[in-house]
Amino acid sequence: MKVNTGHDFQSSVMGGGLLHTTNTGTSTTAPAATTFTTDGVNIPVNQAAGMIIQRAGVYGVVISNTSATNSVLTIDKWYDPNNPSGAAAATPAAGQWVLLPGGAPSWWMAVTENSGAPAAGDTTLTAELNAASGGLNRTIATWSHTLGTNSYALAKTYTVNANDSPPKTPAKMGLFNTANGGRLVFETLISNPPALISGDQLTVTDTVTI
Amino acid sequence: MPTVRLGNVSPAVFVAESNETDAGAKVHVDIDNGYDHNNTVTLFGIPPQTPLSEALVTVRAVWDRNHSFDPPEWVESDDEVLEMLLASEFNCAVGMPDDWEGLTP
Repeated sequence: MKVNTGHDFQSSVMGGGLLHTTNTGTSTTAPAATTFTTDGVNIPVNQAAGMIIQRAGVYGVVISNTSATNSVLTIDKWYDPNNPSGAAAATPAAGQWVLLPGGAPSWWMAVTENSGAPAAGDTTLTAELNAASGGLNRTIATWSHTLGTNSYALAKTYTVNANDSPPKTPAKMGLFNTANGGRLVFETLISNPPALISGDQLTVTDTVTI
Repeated sequence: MPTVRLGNVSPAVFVAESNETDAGAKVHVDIDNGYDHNNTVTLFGIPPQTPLSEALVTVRAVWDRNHSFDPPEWVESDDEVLEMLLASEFNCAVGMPDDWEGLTP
């Protein structure tokens, strides 16, 4: 189901969202691994949430932002555009930046053993599986779409490893717009979830009607 | 990010039983493509660094569950090895035929 934050997400990503008075500038404050200071550009509080901040060949997805003469954007990490599902990109230096309209896609798939019914007010995936180097961790899913139809699918084939402390029974999945934290958009129960041991594979597919 | 295009001559959509679970069924869909038949193209965007074996399993699973009732007529990919593997998996041609009549990207 599409949760409430998913409705908010869809409206801004598909519709463009709140375009600020100023969406570009040149920073002088050195960015950090999870923050970026706009230096001289005041963005209303949290109105950049979900948008993409681009700087020097890398980008971040804004989780939240302060409103001040020098707004501080909190991101989950810096992404390498050529490998967004890989390790965090190096933190860029200060300089010219752009805040892009719309927002980052909700292509990060996570799973949990929690089998509680999805609720419109959910903002996180309860007990999301996230073991260090686990095979069931949140990751970018494969997107697919048949031209001329009113749906698309996001799918991930998970392979369980010993770090997941199997057996594990993924019973529910969620789609987010960031690698960590971020906005929950869709949440769906997995029908007849299997108990998985190390080496087992499970392809989870979420179909979205548009 | 590897991309895959599959020639789809029997397009389908997956219709969920509810908006809370992944249970549902695949149903035929008519594509208004301007031709007398129903040809279209299914696109896949595969995350970078995805192992070939995983990409193959995922494309096969999603194709069968979501997108079509028949194997693709052809496959194209910017990853030549994946393209060859998918052509073998589906026993289909490599490359969109010059006379393909249907929706195209």
